[in-house]
Amino acid sequence: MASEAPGLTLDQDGKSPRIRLTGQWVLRHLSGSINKLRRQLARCKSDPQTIWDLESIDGLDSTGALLLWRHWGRRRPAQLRLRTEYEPLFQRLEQMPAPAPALKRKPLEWVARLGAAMLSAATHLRELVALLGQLTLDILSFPARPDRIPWREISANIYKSGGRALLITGLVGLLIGIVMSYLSALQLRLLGGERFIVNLMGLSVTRELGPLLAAILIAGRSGSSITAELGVMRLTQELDALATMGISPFKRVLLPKVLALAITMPLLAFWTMAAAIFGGMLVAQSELNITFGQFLSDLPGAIPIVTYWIALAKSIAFGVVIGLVSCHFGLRIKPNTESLGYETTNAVVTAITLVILTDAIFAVGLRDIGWQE
Amino acid sequence: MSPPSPTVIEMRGIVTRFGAQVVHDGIDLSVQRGEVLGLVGGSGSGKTTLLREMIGLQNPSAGEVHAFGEAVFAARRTHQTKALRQRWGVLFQHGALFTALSVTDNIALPLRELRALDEPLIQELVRLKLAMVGLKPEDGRRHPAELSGGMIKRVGLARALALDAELLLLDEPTSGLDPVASEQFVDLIAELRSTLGLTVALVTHDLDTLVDLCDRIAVLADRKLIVIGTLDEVIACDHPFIQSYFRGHRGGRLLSKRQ
Repeated sequence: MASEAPGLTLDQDGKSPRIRLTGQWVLRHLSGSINKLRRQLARCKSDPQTIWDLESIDGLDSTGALLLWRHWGRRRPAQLRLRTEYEPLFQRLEQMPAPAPALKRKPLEWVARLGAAMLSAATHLRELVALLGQLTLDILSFPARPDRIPWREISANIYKSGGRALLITGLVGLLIGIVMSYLSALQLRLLGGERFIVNLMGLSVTRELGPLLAAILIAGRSGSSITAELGVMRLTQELDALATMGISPFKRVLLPKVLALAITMPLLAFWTMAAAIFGGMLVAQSELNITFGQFLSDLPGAIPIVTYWIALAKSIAFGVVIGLVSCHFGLRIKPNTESLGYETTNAVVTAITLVILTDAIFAVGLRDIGWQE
Repeated sequence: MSPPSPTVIEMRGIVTRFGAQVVHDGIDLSVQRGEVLGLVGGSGSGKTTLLREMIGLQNPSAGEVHAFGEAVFAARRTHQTKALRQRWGVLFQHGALFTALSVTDNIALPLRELRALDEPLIQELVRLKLAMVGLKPEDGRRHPAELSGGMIKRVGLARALALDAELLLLDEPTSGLDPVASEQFVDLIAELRSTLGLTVALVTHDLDTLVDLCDRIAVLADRKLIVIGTLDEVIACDHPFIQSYFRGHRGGRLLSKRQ
């Protein structure tokens, strides 16, 4: 195989120096020895009398040709012996266009970028409001045409975003319930107020933790899948296909998803609450000797009924927020793989942030309601 | 030095099964150095699958594939089987450009992956490849999403040629192109093939591409390779698929024009 390695020999004994190239001057053989060849080339002074003899090489490709071309200063040496089959390679190099001029950086670019970011935030807000308005109009059109309500899509989405999330929300609720009540049990025992575990768990889980936990899990789980699904539907022009058939993608694709989330979120929130309280009951029994019976008979007294209404309202709001945000980002996906990942991440992050923000608004707005004297 | 072996790809006894469905049932096929071989067959006859098996993207259920005299499906990945991947370039049906990278970076990727060339050399090689497929240096800055169908194919071809491959595999090179762009693309492949001395294996549905570009044509039907040879030899075969394919309304018109 030694004969295949590219090499060159310098012949000084004739009238003019003669550089003879041998072997395979192709990328596959060059890549191992390119630096060695470069050093050898550098030693060969290229004065006009030098004869470059390429007639005994076994192969030459564009990489090999370019390597020589760069050494020659981007022009043919005066004395070049070349086999005709390699002629097109050098012709191509001669005709190669100049590199595209580099893009200039503008001064104060960071100011422009900051402005662009603020404008883009404003655009997001405007588009979200427009989407909410569009979906509201769609809902308002339903009473007039009840046969146009997409029941099948709504039910399929309820199953996808609700039914299939039961296991994960239940498990997380149970574990958080166990952790919470275990920590509280230690403190309550110190104070001698063991029975207050019911109030503590009952209130915190129904009013805050249950709806919030479920919403965060669903934002991650269903939000990302909605964004990705809509994005791919946009890329494959499925949404356009629907529109050409006179079927509004908003009514048939987006609305069922948002409505389904608005319906499943409260259900999942109550399911998570139940799981968390069950976790609390397990700990109360093992750590504080409060039986299931005692816990359950104290529970209705500990939680005012209005707490449930607050949880219900909050969860519906969370569902709508998650649905809107993920649909919004799904429609922004551009036809490339990077955008798919980028917008999905954006959707989940924004949905979770907005869920917590909504929760804070509810907490402040309803701060005087539902506390027992 | 011994002359390079005349056979670039050698497939023997290829059997491909997807579950209970048999796609190939004992196919023998070889691609000779310097030729353009066209693979033809009806939809679902496993043309693309055969192409994928040539380059080791898919393992046949039975049979052997040799490329440049090396087994493509060696039990162990040796240095040799890895080096094989530098000797062929593939143009996928939809380009398969990396959408997150610019055109320049798409073409530079295989060159950078060698870790042997420096950046100025790579940039210049990319420029050369772009010029080869008829694109301007400015196009290098664009992203695949901003390119037309014909340009995507050209960039895909430039990427396939990045490592100066000896064997070029094209999956439906002219599908999705308008007649003018498709003719230009066929001319481009023909020109590159004659100047670079490439060996080409291609899958196509397009009769024009077959007639204009291919030295030999291999026809897949009924899970077998029913005939392989020049266009005239293929047409002479009286298999019903060939009769309907080449003697149908459009095929007949094209062939009569050629005579």
